[in-house]
Amino acid sequence: MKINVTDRAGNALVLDCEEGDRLMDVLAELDLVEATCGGECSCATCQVYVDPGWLARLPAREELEVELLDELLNSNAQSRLACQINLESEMDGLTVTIASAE
Amino acid sequence: MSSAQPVVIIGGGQAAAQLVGSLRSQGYTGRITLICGENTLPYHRPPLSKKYLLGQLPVEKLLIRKPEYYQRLDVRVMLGCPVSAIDRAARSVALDDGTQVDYGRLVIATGGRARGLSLVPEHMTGVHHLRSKADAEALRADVFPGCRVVLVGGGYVGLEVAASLRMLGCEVTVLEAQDRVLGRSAAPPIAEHLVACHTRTGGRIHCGRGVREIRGGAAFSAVVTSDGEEIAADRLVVGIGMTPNSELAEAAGLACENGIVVDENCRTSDPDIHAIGDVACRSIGGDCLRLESVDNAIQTGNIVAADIAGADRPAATAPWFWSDQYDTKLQMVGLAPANAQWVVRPGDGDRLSCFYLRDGRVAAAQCLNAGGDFMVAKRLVAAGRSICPEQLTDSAMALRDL
Ligand SMILES: Cc1cc2nc3c(=O)[nH]c(=O)nc-3n(C[C@H](O)[C@H](O)[C@H](O)COP(=O)(O)OP(=O)(O)OC[C@H]3O[C@@H](n4cnc5c(N)ncnc54)[C@H](O)[C@@H]3O)c2cc1C
Ligand code: FES
Repeated sequence: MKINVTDRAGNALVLDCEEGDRLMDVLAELDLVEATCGGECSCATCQVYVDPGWLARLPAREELEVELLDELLNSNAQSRLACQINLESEMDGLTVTIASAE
Repeated sequence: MSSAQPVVIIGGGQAAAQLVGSLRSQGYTGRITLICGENTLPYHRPPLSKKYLLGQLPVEKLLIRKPEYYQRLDVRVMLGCPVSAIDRAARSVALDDGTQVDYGRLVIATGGRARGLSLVPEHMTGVHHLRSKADAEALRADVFPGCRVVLVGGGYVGLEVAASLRMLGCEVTVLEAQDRVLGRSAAPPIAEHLVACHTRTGGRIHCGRGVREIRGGAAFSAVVTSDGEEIAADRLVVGIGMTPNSELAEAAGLACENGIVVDENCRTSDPDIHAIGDVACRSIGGDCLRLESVDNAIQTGNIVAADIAGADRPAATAPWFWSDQYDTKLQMVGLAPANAQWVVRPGDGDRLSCFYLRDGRVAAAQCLNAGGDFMVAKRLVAAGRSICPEQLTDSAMALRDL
């Protein structure tokens, strides 16, 4: 499956990924996000903005994710932490923009 | 130009992985060789005491980067190859099998090893510690529901292991020699909350009780505490911290004290040799600090990458750390002295945040189940914001509005 990613410099990338990957793993592999805590929902350095059309098709955010995102200065209603998104086959074509590091 | 000098990295943990990525992103195009004693690519250690021990994280998610990453970055990776000596005159390192690898700049990223309990007889079975993936796998394979485990040491790793083993159905008793757990590092109210999480689920934590004797023949069978009680158990886990792997550096004549002594640029007493991560004791503003955290591994990796690539040193950031026990998440930022006076900001339910002010400015914060407070606290510490304690304790006022 493929996902569409706009990196922090504004480059549009099409990335190959596999079902079961966390979105964070795919982005970290290319050093597009820091993902300091390795997906433990502790650092919030893996923030992405999800394309509006895709937002409702992703599993809901859990409490901890919401709490971290709420206090980031650059978060908005489209924000997600990439480590909390497990890629599934229905997410083929998912489109996200990587948020800048705070 | 210095960037053409081949870089050799001893050790392949969190700090080494960060260094290779950072070197390439800083534009360093020279040869990079990563030599690691363990037979696996760099992996995340934090899950070893948490999700990986619980069997909730597949092994492939433990790797920090996939094998292709190192190929793409053109890094020569040598796994299962402990370095046995550094020859500074010849500018090379020697592997166990006699192979020599030449360096222009050498980076020591050897981390540490679990500190042993001298009372434990060599080769006694049923005794564990936790530093590596292999340790975590061995521990998981050796416990069973109802297994009685005594865990010596109430530090972060010890408490995390205690929580995970309890969740795996073990009967867990923690012995902490000091009068409270996390004595050196956590604010007392935070430590009390964590202890309550353990006891609520049936874990036992005894403070002020050390170990006098370890009993058993070939296999461990009991601990005798410093106050004379015998606690019979099936397994012993020793969680009394780590010893930095600085012997190579010492043998090469580099200054070492509580790890390898480095300056702000992570240079050792030999300017062509750096040390990063858990093994490095870095002098910052007169203090020599050896931090054991993912954040520190990443920061020091970035600092050395910039130094080697000839870029400016990255701006200093406040150190931070997290720990997960049961459903409780602790996040902390900044450094506070052991006897710090903490300002406590109460929260709803299990939430709790503590702040340490130095000269009226927020210098450190510890947040329990309060990730939002932690995010704000990181900014407050970074900005060195002066704030009055009454505002911090007023939970009607949102932290972000202060
Ligand atoms: C169980 C556990 C849980 C943790 N939880 C957290 C947490 O929640 N949050 C947090 O911030 N931090 C946590 N930490 C700390 C964090 O994992 C470490 O700070 C970090 O891994 C340090 O990275 P490093 O690269 O310096 O050392 P390491 O990751 O230890 O890597 C060093 C590597 O060097 C190799 N090596 C040693 N000697 C030689 C030699 N002579 N030749 C070749 N190779 C050698 C070792 O085998 C090892 O692979 C935890 C640590 C452990 C053990
Ligand atoms: S990787 Fe740390 S919160 Fe996502």
